[in-house]
Amino acid sequence: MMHLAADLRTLALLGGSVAAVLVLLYLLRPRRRRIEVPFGGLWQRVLAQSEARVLGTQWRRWLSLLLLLGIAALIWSAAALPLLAGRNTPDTQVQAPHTVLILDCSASMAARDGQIKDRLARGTTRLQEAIEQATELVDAAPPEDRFVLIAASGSARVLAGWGTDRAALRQAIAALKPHDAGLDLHRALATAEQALTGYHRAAIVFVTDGGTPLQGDAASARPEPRHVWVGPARAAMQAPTAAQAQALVQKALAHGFDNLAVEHVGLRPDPADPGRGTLTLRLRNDTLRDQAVQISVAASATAQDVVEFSRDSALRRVQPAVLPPGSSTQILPDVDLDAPRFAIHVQPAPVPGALQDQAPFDDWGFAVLAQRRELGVLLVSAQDLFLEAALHAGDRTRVQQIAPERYHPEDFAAADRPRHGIDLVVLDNVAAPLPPGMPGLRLLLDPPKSETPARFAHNPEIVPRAAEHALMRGVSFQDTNFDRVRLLPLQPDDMVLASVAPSGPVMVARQTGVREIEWGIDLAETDLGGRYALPLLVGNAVAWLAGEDEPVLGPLELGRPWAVEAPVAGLAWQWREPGQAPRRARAAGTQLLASSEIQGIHTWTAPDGHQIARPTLLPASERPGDVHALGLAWHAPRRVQRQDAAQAWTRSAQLLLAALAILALEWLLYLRRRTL
Amino acid sequence: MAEAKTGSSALRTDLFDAGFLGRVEQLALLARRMATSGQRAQRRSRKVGSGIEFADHRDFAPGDEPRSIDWSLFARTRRLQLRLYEEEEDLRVYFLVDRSLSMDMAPAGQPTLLDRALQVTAALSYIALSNLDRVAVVPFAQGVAAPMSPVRGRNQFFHILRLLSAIAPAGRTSIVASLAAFVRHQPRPGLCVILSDFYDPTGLGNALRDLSLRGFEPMVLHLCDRTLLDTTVAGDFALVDCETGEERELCLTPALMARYREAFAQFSEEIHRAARQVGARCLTVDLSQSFDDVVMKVFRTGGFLG
Repeated sequence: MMHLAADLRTLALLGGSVAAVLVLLYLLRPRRRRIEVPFGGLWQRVLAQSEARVLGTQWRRWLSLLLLLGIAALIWSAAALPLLAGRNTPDTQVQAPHTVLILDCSASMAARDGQIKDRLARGTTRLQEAIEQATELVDAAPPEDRFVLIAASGSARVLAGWGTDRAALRQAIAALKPHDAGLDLHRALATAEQALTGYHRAAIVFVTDGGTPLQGDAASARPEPRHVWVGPARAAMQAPTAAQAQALVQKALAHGFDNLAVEHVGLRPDPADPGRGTLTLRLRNDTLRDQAVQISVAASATAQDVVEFSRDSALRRVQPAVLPPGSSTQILPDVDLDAPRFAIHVQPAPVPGALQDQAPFDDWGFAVLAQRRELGVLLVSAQDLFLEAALHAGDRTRVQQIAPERYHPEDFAAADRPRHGIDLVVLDNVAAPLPPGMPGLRLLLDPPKSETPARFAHNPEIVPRAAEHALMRGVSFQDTNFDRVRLLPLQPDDMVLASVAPSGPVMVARQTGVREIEWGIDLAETDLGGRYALPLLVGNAVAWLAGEDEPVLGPLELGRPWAVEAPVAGLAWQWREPGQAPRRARAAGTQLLASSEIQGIHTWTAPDGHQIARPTLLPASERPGDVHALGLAWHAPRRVQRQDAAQAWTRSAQLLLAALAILALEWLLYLRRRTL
Repeated sequence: MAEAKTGSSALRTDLFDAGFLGRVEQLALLARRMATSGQRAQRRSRKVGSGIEFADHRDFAPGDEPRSIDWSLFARTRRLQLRLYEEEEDLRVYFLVDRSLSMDMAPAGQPTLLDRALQVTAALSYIALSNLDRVAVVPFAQGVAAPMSPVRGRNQFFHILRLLSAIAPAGRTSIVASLAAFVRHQPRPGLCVILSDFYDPTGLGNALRDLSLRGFEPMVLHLCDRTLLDTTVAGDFALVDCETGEERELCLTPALMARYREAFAQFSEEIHRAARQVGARCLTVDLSQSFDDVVMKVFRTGGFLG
């Protein structure tokens, strides 16, 4: 290859030099024969009469120069062809014999670019375009080239290794599908680098729409990936600079997309009627025009994905709306919440009498209400009517009250829940510890004897310190008076929820394998405002201790690693992805570790009946319009067709004949000019 | 059209050798015979004055001499008319010889237009001197040099010859400026023989008319070299104007030469037209013609000493 490049450089230098000399000589022109005439004015008059002929003469001069250069170029080509053919051995044909082909299979690759009219004509997604590009790249490569195919989304899957079976490689490329996930470019590049270890002439070709990856930077990889952009970013392939490339991309993006997206789903039970709630949707319209849509809300107790919702759900609402371009919020009040799982479908409003769109654009969103199971609460208290009443106020608590002297923690260990049916314990001024593995609330206005000296504050001003915590939701101590509060001693990892200014904690949440709350306040020693707040505080505490503190469970971002908090540690959880069979979940302490690219509702179920259900959501980076042409564009290495020597010499002879023909033409022109 | 030729600044004594002088003598005799056969040898001036030859009548005006009144005519017509007589005086013949560089163009070894002009001037001068007329030679190019006083008598011929021999080609042709300067230096009108190729970029203009209005009687001898028109040279050339030095590149083709000949014919016709407009005679003299043929042609055309 280096020899060939050197030959090419030499030939190019030689050809350029000859052309430059020819042009220079032509411009210098040989000195014409000078003839003295008695009266130039008469000649001036003659030439003025035939100005057009003078222009014709000038034109002939330049034509003559062009012909001369053409002759030189033909002679140069005739000389170069045999040389190139001789040098073009198989081992120098390939610049990058080992290529890792990374195809972006993230969610944005499912987008169809352009407006409806164009899209119906083409009907291809970005991934289909990427498949075509990758197939062309593979087809154009010599048989000696080796490829590795990596499908990149939230994960990096090697679909074809170094091999010579091109048919299998093409099949693997053709079978690629877009995933409901963001792009983890770092993982894909790490896999590619690993595949290229030990190969010197190697390249990474990244076929992508230019979407923003969740993590990773192409420039950091070695060799630096070359991009084949599809979709709107494809316009940047021929741009010489990054700025011009981005400008071309923006121009292509200006046409918008036929795309609707569910960006966020919020579901809030009505405080007055927990059986009904308000659905808040943030929808995105990428069409750059007002789009009439139909929003469908379906509810189910068990469905996890679109297929299951269509089979086993109840349609709760069908509501038309007109979405302006960009993101907008739609509020659907008074939604029946009798089932915990919801699927929201947004699609263009059907037009009566119109043909069905061959490539519809729509999106799904999912929401899950927190599980509202009955909780067994053990209240260990001498007599506290306020506290007992607050616990009973919850519509799903089953309170079992015992006297402190009858309380033995080991009788209520978490492991024995099937026997005693207790989910959490409330200790009202009881010095004894919580049962093993059992979450609980400790009200400790009177400290244990081990704590000396105990600290108290009288008529304090209590300030919330973690207003965003689930325990403090809806709670304010403003204008609430307490006679006396106890300042709690802090332990490592304690979260102070409320304190007496400046630094006397009175409410603490603790989570060291099991959730625990301590209060240093006595609600019997507060005024009316505090007593009204008690049921709310207790309700929040019970929900948090039971792991059901969120009314709507936050979505999990597809393609990213997840750590789902489990209310009880040490159980053998089963994870079920939508549409997949259950399998053993990985756990680290109370966190369940997972990652998936399947959109829908993921569930984790414990043997004791606990179940966690979490909806998924596409990463915000997977917006079809969020594309950038960053990095280097891929241009196929210039490959000279292999020619045998005879063919090259034949071509060379043809070129020489052509040069002679042009020379004869030039000579005829000269003779014609002389004889005119 | 010829290769550049070095202008001759030496005396042109070879132009006026013994053969030339003998030929001039014969021409003078021939001219005198032609004059006695049909025309008078002496040429009268156009000046109307106190001679004895009746010229014309004109109306009487206060201040005129009463003795000039034609009383016979008055008796017949009852109109007061004066009799006018031509005033006899010596004719002055001015030879305006173009000595610009364009007159010095000729193939090597061939006579130039200036040579021919000088020979014709010498011959005509001899004839005029023989006719007792006054002769002055006025070389010109961009202007006129110091004026020469007209001379009279055959013995002045060699003075004329020395003067002609000393004329060296130089400068550009400027007919208008030269004739205007000539008029300023020579207040007395006479016959004005202009020998030139008339290669003046500014043209002839009204020079002949101005000359005529001043009382001069112009006679134009347009000298040319037709061998330059018949050239068969072709190809790319750089034409250099011998007077201005301006250079112009062209591809000389037969077609272009044909157009050049047309342009020259048109140019020559323009000179003739300008002469006709003032009643002057105009002869085109080709270099191939011998000087005596030219002289005879001048006499046959008339207007010279006629």
